[in-house]
Amino acid sequence: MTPNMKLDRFDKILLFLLAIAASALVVYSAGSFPAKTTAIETRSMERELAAQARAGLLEKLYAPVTGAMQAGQYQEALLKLEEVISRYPGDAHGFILKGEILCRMGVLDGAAAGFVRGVKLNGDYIDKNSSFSKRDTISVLVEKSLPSAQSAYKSSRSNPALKENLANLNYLKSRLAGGCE
Amino acid sequence: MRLDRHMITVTLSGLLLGFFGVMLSVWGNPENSGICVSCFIENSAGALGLHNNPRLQYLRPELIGFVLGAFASALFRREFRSRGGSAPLLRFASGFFLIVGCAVFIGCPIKLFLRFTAGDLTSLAGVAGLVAGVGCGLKGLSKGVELGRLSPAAAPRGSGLLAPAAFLMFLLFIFISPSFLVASEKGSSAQHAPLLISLSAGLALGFAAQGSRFCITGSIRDILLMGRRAPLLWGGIAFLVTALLVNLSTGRFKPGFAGQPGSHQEYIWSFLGMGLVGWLSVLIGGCPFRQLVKSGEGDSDAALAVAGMFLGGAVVQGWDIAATSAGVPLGGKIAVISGFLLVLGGSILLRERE
Amino acid sequence: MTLPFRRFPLATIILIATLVILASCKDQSRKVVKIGYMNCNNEQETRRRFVPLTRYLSDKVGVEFVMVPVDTHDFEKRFNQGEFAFTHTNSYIYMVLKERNNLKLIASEKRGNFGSRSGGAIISRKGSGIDRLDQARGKKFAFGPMLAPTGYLAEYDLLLRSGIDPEKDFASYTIPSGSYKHEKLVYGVLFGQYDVSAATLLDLETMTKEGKIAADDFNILAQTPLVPYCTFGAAANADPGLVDKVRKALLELKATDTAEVEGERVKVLKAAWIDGYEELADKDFDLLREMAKRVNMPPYQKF
Repeated sequence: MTPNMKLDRFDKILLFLLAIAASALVVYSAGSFPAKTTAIETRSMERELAAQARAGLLEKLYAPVTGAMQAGQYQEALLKLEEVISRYPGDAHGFILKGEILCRMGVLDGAAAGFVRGVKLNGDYIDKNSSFSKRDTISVLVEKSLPSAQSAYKSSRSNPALKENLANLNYLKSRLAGGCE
Repeated sequence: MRLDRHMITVTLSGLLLGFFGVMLSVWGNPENSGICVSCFIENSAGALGLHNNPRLQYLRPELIGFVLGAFASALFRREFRSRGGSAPLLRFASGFFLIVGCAVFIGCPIKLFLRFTAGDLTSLAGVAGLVAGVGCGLKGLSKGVELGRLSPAAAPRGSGLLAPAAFLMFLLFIFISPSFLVASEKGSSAQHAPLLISLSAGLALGFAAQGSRFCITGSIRDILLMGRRAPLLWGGIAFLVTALLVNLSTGRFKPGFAGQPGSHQEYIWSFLGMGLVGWLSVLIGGCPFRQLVKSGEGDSDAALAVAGMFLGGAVVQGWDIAATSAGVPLGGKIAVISGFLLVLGGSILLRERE
Repeated sequence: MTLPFRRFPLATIILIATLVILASCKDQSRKVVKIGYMNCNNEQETRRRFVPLTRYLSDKVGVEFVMVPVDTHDFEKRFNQGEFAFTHTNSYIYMVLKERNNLKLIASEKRGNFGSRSGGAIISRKGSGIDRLDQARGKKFAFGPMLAPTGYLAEYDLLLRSGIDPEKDFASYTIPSGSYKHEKLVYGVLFGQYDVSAATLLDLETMTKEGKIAADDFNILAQTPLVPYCTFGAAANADPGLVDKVRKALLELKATDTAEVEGERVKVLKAAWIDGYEELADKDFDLLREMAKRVNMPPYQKF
């Protein structure tokens, strides 16, 4: 549309209808705000419910394991964990708990492998603000194990187990550092 | 080399990009991702419900700022022109595969250099790939591969307003928060700079980039063509130097290969992913950032590329194409190869032969 | 120019036939090397587990490996007689052969939660009233086979270090007879034949996974340190190049690798019940050596 353009009847009808549509958009958008706000709260609530339900189920499922861990009975905890894992084989929480137990037992390469599997399945375990976060434990493991893993690999590059352990620790280090994941 | 107004605006654009690229990360964006067009598009696609990765859903204000800032700049400079109509579907597909290439590398060309200036040496493979890809694109252009010229006559009047209108709508979404808009509460999308800072930075960058025509792949293209005489070279240098200095001063410079944030060590696929991005960028006239800026100044072909990028952002998450620190999934490798099939096939079919 | 076979068709045919025959002869003239495999439970099980691995090694190394199942108590004697140059044994037998015959370490097996290491435990039945190790005094105890590092040696050492002398402080102790001794220890406690027994951590893990026992059936009264699991070794005079090839083949073994057994392709690791191989150093066995010294077992026994 230019200033010199002549508007015929058809143009005027179109402009009139455009004005009505624009007004209707404004009215309906303004009118539906409260409903939409409630829907957002509902969505947030649904997410919160899902998160809490998950947390509750995990706590119940793994209670025997965490109980044994707290009592310092790590081997018993591992056996109980095997039973849960056989029922829920793909669950990230199981791998994370295995990582924790093996970490406490001093089996650091096994711990790293467990944490890697758990974090790959569910990044919540490495998030700072997640209620499931094991960031601190993983961070300590990486700090403690990485230097020795690097020197072990340097002295024996043909050893696939050392390479795998180093790759696991570097993966955890990368996830701890952040990035878009 | 003349120190003219264009040179100054290009250098200023580079400086701003380098500064905000790091500082947005300091202010809350994910590590080494102060500005990453591909990551932002994936996040925004998720926010709009186009994919359901709960860790990557946030309508990034920076993207909106790029387009609206470019729109404002184009209006201010009276450079806004509705134009388009040149191989639209190919540009849409190219936009899709731009995101595929970025997702496999984990980052757009801007993030590539932000990672590099933060000491992430795994990005070197991506740098090599991007340069190689731009080189291949230039070779194609010199041999007659062309998608066709943009023409104001080919584009209906006012069609160039659609992209700015769409992003204005996204801006409204941010403020009115409709129920379908999702925001992650965990993961990298939960990490973001404050809204006004992100939006302001985006607007500033969009405004500056529109006027200067600054583009990462464009800089590489011009350097390959013109060497030191290329004005965009100085924008590129300003970007790199500023980003490096800000990274050093904020303690974010950590040189190394392993354990870098948001990176993997499958160097071949980093090379190929960025190679695809470089090649496509030359053919469609700019990197993902430049496509956003052009869509703001009325280029509806760029707007189609942006639409393709949004589809790409959705699909790379929904179809397990995007790489992670764990590596490149098989879907990502297949998608990059498919992108090369498109580029190679298109180059053969579109080549103007004497 | 006419092609040679047109001018000399008969000569060409003879040449090709000769090459084909020579190529097939090459396979039949492969060197034969024997690997002695220690029987864990019985020969049949040992063959089922390790024939695919032996075939895999043959394929990879280019040598015809022949499997020789050997009873644990006969192993050292038959090794000394030169019946086999390569060995597959538990870590205790490796240690003995290393000390006495300078056996070379090739690679160690990975299995279970602890990878290439394993440990032992002392268990009682839940609800038996025996909840602590010191309560095992005066009870009926069972050990695993005497040459089992984590069925006998490690637990015996653990008891001594805990101030319990098995020769004096138990009402009695026994070692189950026959095969499947390790599982018999666990079932023996479960069904009340023994009050307390040694059990390998790997057996407890495997039996729990298989549903044979529940974790809540037992109290783990104590656990030993972790020591290396089963190990491949080679005689001191074995060809170093061949030893390196075997090591490489074992370390590269993946879950998807297969070997042909009686016309069927079998997954090597799955058949062997193992997760892979790892290269350990001889010093990783020092803990086991210290245990053997404390328990006064070969090769350190003093009379």
